[in-house]
Amino acid sequence: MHRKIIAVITVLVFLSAALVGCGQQAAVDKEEEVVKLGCALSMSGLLGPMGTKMTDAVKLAVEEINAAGGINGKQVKLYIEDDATDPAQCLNAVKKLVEANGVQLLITGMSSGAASTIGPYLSERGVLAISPSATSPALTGEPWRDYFFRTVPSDEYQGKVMAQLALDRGLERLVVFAMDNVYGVSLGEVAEQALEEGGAEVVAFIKYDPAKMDYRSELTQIKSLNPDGVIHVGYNDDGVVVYQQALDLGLDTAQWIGCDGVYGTGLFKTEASATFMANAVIGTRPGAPEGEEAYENFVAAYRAEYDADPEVFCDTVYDAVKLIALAAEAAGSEDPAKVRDALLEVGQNYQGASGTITFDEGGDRIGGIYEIWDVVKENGEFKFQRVEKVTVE
Amino acid sequence: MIDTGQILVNSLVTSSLYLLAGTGLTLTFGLSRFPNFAYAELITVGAFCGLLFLAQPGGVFVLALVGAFLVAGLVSASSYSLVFQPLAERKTSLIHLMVASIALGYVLRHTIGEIWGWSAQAYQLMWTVYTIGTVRISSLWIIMIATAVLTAVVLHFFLTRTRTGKAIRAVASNPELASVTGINKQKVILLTWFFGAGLAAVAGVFRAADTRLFPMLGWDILLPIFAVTILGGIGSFYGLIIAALLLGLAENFGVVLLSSIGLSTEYRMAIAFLILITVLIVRPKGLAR
Repeated sequence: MHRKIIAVITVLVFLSAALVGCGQQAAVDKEEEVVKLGCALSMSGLLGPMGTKMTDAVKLAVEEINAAGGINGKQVKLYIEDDATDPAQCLNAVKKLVEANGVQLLITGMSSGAASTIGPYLSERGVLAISPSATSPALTGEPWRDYFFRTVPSDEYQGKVMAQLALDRGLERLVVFAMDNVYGVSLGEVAEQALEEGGAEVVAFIKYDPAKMDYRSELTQIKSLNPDGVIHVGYNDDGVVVYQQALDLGLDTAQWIGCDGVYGTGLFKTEASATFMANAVIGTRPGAPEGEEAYENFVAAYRAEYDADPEVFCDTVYDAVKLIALAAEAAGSEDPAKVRDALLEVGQNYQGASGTITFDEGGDRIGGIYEIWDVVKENGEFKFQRVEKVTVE
Repeated sequence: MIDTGQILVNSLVTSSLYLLAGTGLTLTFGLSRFPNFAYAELITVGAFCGLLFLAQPGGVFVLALVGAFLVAGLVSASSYSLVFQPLAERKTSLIHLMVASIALGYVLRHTIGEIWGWSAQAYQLMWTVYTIGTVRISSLWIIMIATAVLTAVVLHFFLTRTRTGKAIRAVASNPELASVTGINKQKVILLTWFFGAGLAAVAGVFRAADTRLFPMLGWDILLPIFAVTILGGIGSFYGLIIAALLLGLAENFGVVLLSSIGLSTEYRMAIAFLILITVLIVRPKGLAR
């Protein structure tokens, strides 16, 4: 009796061992066939419209890489997650990609808040990520930056361009009106400092809740201070409401200076917001190197694929994917530590769609191209128009 | 320097929203004795009905308000008869009813998301702005404030002068006694759920017109609405009027205070809740109970 049981158990053990072995073998084979790339940007929430287009640019870059033979002879497999414009959700998405899908190379950290939430985890797990759009100067020099790069210049540059714009227009008394998150406050602070260094006076720095959507009293306070300029840092979603309420309160007598967050057709959702922008708002945003070959090729490819023009950060996210591929090729490996080291090598004077990319030791992009924009109404249609292009070294 | 007149107008706009949105919540809370979290979605349903009615040929704002009122009222009344009444009849606890309402809220919210998408939309309406001295006020804000005042006056007479109104108060204060006196309790409750949700929908249309709309619209303002309901005393309409005014003023003058000392105006809600906590320590049942 005992013998029989032992025999059965032995058979079972062998069988299961064989099965497990097969499973493992299959998994290893499959993993060796592909290079896994994770993409966790915002496809819903405040940044949803922007992030969806950026994800399209990621898909485009991956298709191109695969068509050209992949990375180290292997095809790239793309895993897409949505962080819903929520830093906590971004961490969940990244953890899922890393722990469940086994991804070690990532495009993520769309907002600065998301970037600073996932940064420590990435560093601890030794997983490499590139952000195409986290612009906060506060991210520079963070201890977790060893595995986190960005193909977008820090707002250190944009803040200075905003301040210079105000100074050039002869504005002397300004209010900084910024959404209360990492992006808003740090960009606002850079602008404030640059304004004061330039001799202008910042009479108030008002931080607001981007979800409150009731800004009448903040705007009334600004009006009472009677500034000749307002530096405004917000996103499309709250921007619409800020501008329509500002129009109602008659704040279009001051010159408003916006940023990349308030650039986009989302601002034209209401006539009131569009009218206010045409009356009073000019702004800055990371510019595109029009006329340069890499940029024009990217735009043509994007149009051919999606029948639409690429929007903001589509070029930086496209470059991020291409740089990861290039670095992995150069390293001859997909090991994140090796790719990271190679990234510092290939990321020197790299001619990307978003212009020349050079990383400093801390994984930040040096210098940037900015566009100064305003809003005009032509034949009843509102549209953004470029005023000039500024290159910051 | 403070533009007191303007801040007062701003406060009235905030208060009007809270009053309209809070009325249904406080009355249904008072009658059915549980916090209905799906109430947030009734506000959202109203906002999206408004979008639907405005898109119709000849769609005017008044039509949007009336249409939203009726649709949200029906959704609310049917949710009561299909979900909450059967649960209440089985003597389920407060927690069960509350969780059921959260679940219903999710269903409604995501249904709206599936139909209209998650990105923000807006009503295509332009409002006239009037200037009185230094104070500026848009026609939308005037309509909002007027609707809130009208609602308060009409409800006052409804609750004190009509049979149904008196029945609502009777059921709220003592359900058993009310039943004994021959009041049809279920009918009273159903009617309150209908009209309460209608007013919530009106608030939703106003919120959408004043800002923009997306499936989280109602959820985003549910917290201050619960705050005014509790501050006023659950079930008390008069308490709600005072609470809505108080929180509107606290939030907007709070913004003046916060921005002048350099703090984020996000704390305006914290000021409102500080008042709430203080009042509840002194009067645990709210202002008017």
